[in-house]
Amino acid sequence: MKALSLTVWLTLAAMTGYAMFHITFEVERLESELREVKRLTKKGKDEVHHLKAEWSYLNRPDRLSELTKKFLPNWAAPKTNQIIAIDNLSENLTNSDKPPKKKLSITKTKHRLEKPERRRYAKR
Amino acid sequence: MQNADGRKGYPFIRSGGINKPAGVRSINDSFQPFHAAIETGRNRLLIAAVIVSLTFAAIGSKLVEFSLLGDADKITSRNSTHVSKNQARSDILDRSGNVLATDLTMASLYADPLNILEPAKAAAAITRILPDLDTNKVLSLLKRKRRFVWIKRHLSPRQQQAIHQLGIPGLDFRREYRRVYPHGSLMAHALGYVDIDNHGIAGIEKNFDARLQRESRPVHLSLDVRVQHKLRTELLTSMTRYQATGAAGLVLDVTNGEIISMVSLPDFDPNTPSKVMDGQHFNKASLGVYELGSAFKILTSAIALNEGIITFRDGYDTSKPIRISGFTIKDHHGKNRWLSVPEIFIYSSNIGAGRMALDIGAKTQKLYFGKLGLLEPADTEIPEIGLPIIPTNWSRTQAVTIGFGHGISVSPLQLSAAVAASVNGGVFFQPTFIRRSKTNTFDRGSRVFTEATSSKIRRLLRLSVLDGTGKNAAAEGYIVGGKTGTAEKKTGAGYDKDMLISSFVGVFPMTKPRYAIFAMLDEPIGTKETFGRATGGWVAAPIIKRVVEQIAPILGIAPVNEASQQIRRTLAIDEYQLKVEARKLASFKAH
Repeated sequence: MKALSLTVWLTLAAMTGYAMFHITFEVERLESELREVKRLTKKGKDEVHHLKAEWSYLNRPDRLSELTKKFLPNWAAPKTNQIIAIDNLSENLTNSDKPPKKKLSITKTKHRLEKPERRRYAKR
Repeated sequence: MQNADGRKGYPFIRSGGINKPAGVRSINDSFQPFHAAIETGRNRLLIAAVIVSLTFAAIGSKLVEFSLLGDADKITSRNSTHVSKNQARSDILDRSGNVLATDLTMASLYADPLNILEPAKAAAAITRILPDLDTNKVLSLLKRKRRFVWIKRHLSPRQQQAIHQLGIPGLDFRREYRRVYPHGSLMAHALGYVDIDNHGIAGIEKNFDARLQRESRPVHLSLDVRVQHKLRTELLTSMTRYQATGAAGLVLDVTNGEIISMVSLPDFDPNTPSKVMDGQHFNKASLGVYELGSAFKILTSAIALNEGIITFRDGYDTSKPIRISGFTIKDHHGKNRWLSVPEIFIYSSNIGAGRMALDIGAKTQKLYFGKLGLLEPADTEIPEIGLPIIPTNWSRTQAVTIGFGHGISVSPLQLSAAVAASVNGGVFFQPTFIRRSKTNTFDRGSRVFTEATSSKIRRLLRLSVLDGTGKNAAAEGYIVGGKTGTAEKKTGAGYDKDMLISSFVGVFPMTKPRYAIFAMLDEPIGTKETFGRATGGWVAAPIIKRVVEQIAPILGIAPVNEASQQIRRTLAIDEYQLKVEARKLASFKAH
């Protein structure tokens, strides 16, 4: 009887000990994982921060105007008479914007058929 | 084994006479000394066992403590790279969120001289990578009897890598924050800059130093990068063209006092504050105070109209100069006749404005100037604010000269804010660099002029651009109004005719004023195109025109047809009729 209770108690103690250490090490592992995640987050944030500064640097108005001069030589600031309120645009203008679909498709087919190689395929 | 008793066992263990009845002598008594030795041995064994178990218990408990309650953080942090304790300063953003100032982490190189084995070799190797350092200086640093010396702050990642690869013991890095201004000199005077330890020492950086260091929330300014760029470019172009020594410009939101743009030239790069040359630090827009000349006629007219001293129907005789306390006040291109109030304004008549000021009186003039914030330094968010120079004895003579902008020196910022108050319906707002939102209500402004007065001033300013000295400022479609100002600079006792401060203060669109814009050139020299003239109408007004044309679309002001009946009626002055001779003689030589 004595031996039995001793065995039970020892087993319980061993189990508790194992559980305690197991949980501790698990918590530690998770903590280190968290630390790593936090470190990476900080690194990521830092990188974003650097990139934001760089973005601002690359968007300097003087640089943009230099680039405009270089790549859009015909570009000029809009003139006053080129700006108009949307309400003042005439109705005719909006109507004429509709694309003439039918005509376009006809020309396309015609054009295609005129190509010699296509005519050859059509014969077959 | 059997002992003398015939019982089994070890005789010496059975000894000790424990079970022996008192007074009985047995054969065991002869073992007495042996028993004592055994006792001692047992005791010692017990003590040793206790010590050993205590030690193991201690070690065990320590083990448990380490593994369970673990100081893991402390252990790992010792091995991580050292980041200096100071927090990053928060960012400064413009009104649309563009980064104007931010902190980036950079490595700084330091040495522990006591750990450096060969200082000479180390110094040579370091200066090979960092050529801007002096070998001898580095060597003397490395020979110091200290545990810490800075070698170089703020290395580039490449330099850091190179130094790291030298593998010299005793050299190490510290991560530090460095303030970076991506836009360089664009907003130098407004932003200010920081010292090597990241403490703000000028501009917004200084004013908000504690806030920027404490909080991570960025500071939102009212400035606009795009508007700033346009204004700065135009001022710089004109400054070069007219060989001016400096220039200043401002764009102010008249409805709430927000400063949209502030330029002072020459400027500097806040990224390298140590390389700033003399005079570049000086903020001409807010710290410099100048006699700004005719622009003050706006205020004189506004005060006189507001006090009911004059109406548009009234006028003054400008044929004779004003003689007061030994001074004679003349008009440079006088009309030699009676001029109505609108005419006085558009021809920029000093005599007319002087007489108007006489009617107002020194006391009332001073009262209004106080309300318009011209007697105290502007109350805004940068430390570089000039103290206005006002007459100690504000007598009638002073009232007359101040009436046309002489004898009082204020900063362009103050003048712009005062002019804004005279056109926005009559409410004065302290100029601010902080973006105002609808929710924060820290400044509702204070009423100075009535709405009716303000409406009249709007007409006068528009008229000045249509028919008067400010024609060159007319940006088609944006209904610009404004007033030129040309003042001679003080040299010792008198004024120098050739050293001018030429300025223009404009407002647009005049039908519902939204922005006040100011441009000033310091000591411009006329060119062939300006017929040698360097007055506000010739050199400053064109800047306003070009800037307004470019910034109005940015600021969301749509152009209108200026010739439309409705607009003409809103800004017409019924009492004023353009005379033929007036058109012919309209002079740009405004003072």
